[in-house]
Amino acid sequence: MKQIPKKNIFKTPEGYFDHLADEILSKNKNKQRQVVLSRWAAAAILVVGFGLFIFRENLFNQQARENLYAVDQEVEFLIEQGDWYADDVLSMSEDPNAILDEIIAEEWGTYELNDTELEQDLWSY
Amino acid sequence: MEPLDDLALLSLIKDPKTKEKGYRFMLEHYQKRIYGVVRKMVIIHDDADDLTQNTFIKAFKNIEKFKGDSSLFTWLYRIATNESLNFLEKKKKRFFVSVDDHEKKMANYLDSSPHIDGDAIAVLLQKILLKLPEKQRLVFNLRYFEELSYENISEITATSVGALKASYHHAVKKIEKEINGE
Repeated sequence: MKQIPKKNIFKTPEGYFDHLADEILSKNKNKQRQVVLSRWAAAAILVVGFGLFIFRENLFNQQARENLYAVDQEVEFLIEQGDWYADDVLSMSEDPNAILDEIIAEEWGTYELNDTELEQDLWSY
Repeated sequence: MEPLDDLALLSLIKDPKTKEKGYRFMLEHYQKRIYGVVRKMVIIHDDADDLTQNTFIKAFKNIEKFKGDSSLFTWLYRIATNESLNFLEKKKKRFFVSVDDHEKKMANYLDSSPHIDGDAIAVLLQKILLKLPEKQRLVFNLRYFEELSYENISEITATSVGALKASYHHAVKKIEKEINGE
């Protein structure tokens, strides 16, 4: 290989190295800005997405509650009118005992009767 | 500009107040050598320009991960040579099904570009080198043109000194055979 000179045959455009550092530093700054922006964008998407999810869930639950309330109101109306009896409504339920327990808890929930007082209360009628 | 040692340069970069100054020092100190090693691999100036810029941007992005187990120079060379090899590999795959051939493109560039200034034998050497496998060409360039030690090349390429010596020896044999028209 001694007969082959080690000459550098690769030339650059005039002033190439004078501007290379500035170009690289400028590109580096832009890349850093892009990283920051994309992180903010990702965070914003997460927040908006989560917010939409919560909103949708609340909306659904609210509608479901409103629907159930409307059904309850209609059932009560039909019972008051005499079209339905309470026993009929209970028999339509999958678990009538659970409904009765709920009613008892609602109506007697504020009472703190012991067993003796409860028996006396029952026998007063 | 006074050269800075690695520790001083890294201190400049790690301090947010002097980070830009540190980057500039690194660029001005290493840009010609990094460009040189990249250009010898990819031949075409515009490609070398892109890859040189990518090398430094990657280095800045990953400077926190630099452990200091090698010199900054070796670390930069490693990034530059990997960028070059990956670039050439992608070019090979892209041209696999097309008429054009990137190796031919680089050979034509050696003949016709105003950014090539060499006598016939120097250009011939580059064309012969283009026929070598890329890694072997890299080893040849680092040893013959960059005049790095085998130990240095070993750190850059993560290849044993023995394998490098064998690779270089075979490259020289192939080149001599081509030049002598055998």
